[in-house]
Amino acid sequence: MTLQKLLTRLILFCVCPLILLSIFLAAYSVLSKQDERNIEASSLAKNVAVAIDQYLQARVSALHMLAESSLVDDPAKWKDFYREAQGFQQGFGSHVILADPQMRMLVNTRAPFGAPLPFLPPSKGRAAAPTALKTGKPAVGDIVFGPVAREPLVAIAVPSLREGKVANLLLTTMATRQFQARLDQVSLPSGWALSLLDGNATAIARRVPPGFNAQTDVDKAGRFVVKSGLSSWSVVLEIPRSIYRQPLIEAGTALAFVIFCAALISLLGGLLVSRRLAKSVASLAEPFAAGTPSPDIAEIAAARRLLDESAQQQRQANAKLQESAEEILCLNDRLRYLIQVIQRLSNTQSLEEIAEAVRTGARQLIGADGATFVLRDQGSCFYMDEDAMTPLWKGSRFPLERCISGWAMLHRETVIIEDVFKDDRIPHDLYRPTFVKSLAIVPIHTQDPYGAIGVYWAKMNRPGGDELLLIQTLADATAIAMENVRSYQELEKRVRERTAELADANLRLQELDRLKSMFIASMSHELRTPLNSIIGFTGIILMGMSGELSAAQRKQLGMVKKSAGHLLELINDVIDVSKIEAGKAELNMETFDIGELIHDVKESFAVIAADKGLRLEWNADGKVEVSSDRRRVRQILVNLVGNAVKFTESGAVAISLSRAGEGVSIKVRDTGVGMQREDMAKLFEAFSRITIQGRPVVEGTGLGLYLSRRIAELLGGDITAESEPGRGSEFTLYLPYQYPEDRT
Amino acid sequence: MKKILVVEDNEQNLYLMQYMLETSGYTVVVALNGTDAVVLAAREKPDLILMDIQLPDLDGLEVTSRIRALEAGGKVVPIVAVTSFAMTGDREKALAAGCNGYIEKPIDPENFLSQIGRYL
Repeated sequence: MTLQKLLTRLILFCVCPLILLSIFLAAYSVLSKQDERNIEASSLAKNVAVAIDQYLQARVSALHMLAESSLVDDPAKWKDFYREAQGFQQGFGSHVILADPQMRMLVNTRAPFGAPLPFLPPSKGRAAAPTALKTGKPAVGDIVFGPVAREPLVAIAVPSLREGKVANLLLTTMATRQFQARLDQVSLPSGWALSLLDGNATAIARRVPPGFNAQTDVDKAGRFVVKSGLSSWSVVLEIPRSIYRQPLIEAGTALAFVIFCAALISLLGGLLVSRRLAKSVASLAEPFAAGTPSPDIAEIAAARRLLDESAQQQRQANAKLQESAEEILCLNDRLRYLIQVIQRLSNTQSLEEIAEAVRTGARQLIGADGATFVLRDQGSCFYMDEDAMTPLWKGSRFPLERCISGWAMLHRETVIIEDVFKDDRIPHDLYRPTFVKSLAIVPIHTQDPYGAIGVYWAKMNRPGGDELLLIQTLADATAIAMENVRSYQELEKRVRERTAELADANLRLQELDRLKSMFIASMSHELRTPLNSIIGFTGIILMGMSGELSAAQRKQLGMVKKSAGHLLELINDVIDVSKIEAGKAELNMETFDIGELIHDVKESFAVIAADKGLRLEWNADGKVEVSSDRRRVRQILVNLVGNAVKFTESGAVAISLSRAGEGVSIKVRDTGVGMQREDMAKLFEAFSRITIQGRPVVEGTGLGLYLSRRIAELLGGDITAESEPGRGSEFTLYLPYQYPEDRT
Repeated sequence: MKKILVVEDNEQNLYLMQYMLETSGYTVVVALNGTDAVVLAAREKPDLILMDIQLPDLDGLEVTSRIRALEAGGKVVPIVAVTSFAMTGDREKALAAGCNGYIEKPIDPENFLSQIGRYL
């Protein structure tokens, strides 16, 4: 919505109630004017009626006096009466009639005394005489045509009462002309009509404007009727519709015109003002243009000024921003370059590479005419490298005290010299042959400077804060790079030492390994050789090859053989464990029928089982081939079945084979002593011994189950055990069909 | 009478085997090292050679190879390796070298005699 529309609306909203109020006031004024006029009209009518009544009353009173006179009663005195009546007629201008109750005229001033007189004429409406006769009170009659007067008359009749009875009637007749004259005297606003009507509504007198028609021209509201107090007459004031309404129309029209004009003026004025206001406000939104006249509304002019000022400020700010943006762009390029240099520094591995990166980096970074990379070398400054428009001091050494980079390192602060020849710290002789006019030296590593970066200009120059900051950042990065190189070289040295140590240790380990292998081999050989003799000769002797033996000798020699066998078993197990733990166990894979192997094992225990009275059960279930180390599997099975037979005194040892997932599951179940829970926990530990009925079991090597499980694991399988004390144990060997490929 | 060449450097073992075999009615020829063994195998023409693997000069397997090499198309004498090397693969190595059998030490006389009986 535009401001102008809003303002127009506002004006309309303000003007509307005023217009409504004006209309109300106009209507009120018109109505009150109408009321005023109505009051005027009715009081006029009333006045006329009162005047008529006074007129009649005067005559009634006079007639009454005549009626009371004794002259009336005696016809002989009627001549005197006639004279009295003539006096009346002269006074009031109306004739007097005396009539008897039979309506016979006795005396009439209109006629000479004694002239024959007719009866009173009968009236169409309310006649005065009969009414007075009937009521015994004065009465005013309606209009009659006078037979003597030969004109329209109205009569007043007053009874002459004698002893309560009407003896005669006294009448006076008035020509209607008399009333007409009275009405004509009334001052009447033009156009209004005034009538005096009798009880029969016949006009006694009438005053109307020309062309007046009561039927068509007058509304009920324009008709004012006042009844006479003495007679049945009424005074009627009529205001024709046109006259009646005219003031209303005039007032209404004038008011409407005035309201319309007022509304129009306020609307136009409002519109003009609103347009001006809207225009002024709108001009605020337009950009400032030189020569634009200032708005004439003070507040808007102030706003305009403020806007112009802020626009001005904004332009200035924009200009500044533009400037800063350019600076930032320049700085941005430099920062990007700095990052490149720092990245390059971070990849350096020698001081030479650092010097290379720093000299070009420092010069390019701030667009200097030359840059040097100076190292602190004990008491001197070593100008290690440089990048300059003409050579400076590359490769030279100066005492720290005699060069400005030395000063910067010693004082651990940045040096900026705008004019080198005006600074006493500068050895002028050294600078004269060079292009240098201005310089800045930034120490590398502020705490304990390792060196410094120098930047040089051929023209007088003083580096800005940004430029200095860039060079300082470069110096910091250089410090880190130098530390890194130092650490890196240190590290490399240490790595070389450590590698040599490791190689040494590795050699020793290999030697140890070889020794271990040799130990295992020699254990195998050297421990068995004596056993060879023991077992061999005991065997020969027991066979009787060396002569007959006594029973005791046979028994004792049998014990030697058994112990030797046990020892052999122990040695074999220890060697096996050693080999497995050293990762030297060799596996000899082949595909074989596991059922057949179980059968072989079972058969090998047949004799021992039979001796103990045990059942050995094996439910062969067809051919089941596995790919594994047959000898090792046999070793496990011999151990499991051997244990079962060993620890079972009665009942059975049952071996079963079933397929389980990707392999087979061989269960060896016995009805033996079973194991305690605490024994189960260490069942597969090396040299662990279970207890049976409180006594530790000493038979066996203590390595059997440990070895079996290690071998099973080596073959990609596992051994688990379940047991219940007194009820027996069940060992399960799981073997995969195929030895896992990744183990080979 | 069957002749058996026993190649064995350990005196006690040698005595054990010699005593056992002679008592059982075999003629025993003894070689204390590999070199002698090769010579004796060729000269004595034994019916069986019992070959220790670990010998002072030559490896028993090497000796077996040489004997087999010398036989070259002639009569093949059964050679049984007798060893305390009870490692996996030893049996295969022995057979590969030309042995016909493999007996693990320590030997159980009864078992031993019945085994060699099979080669004679």
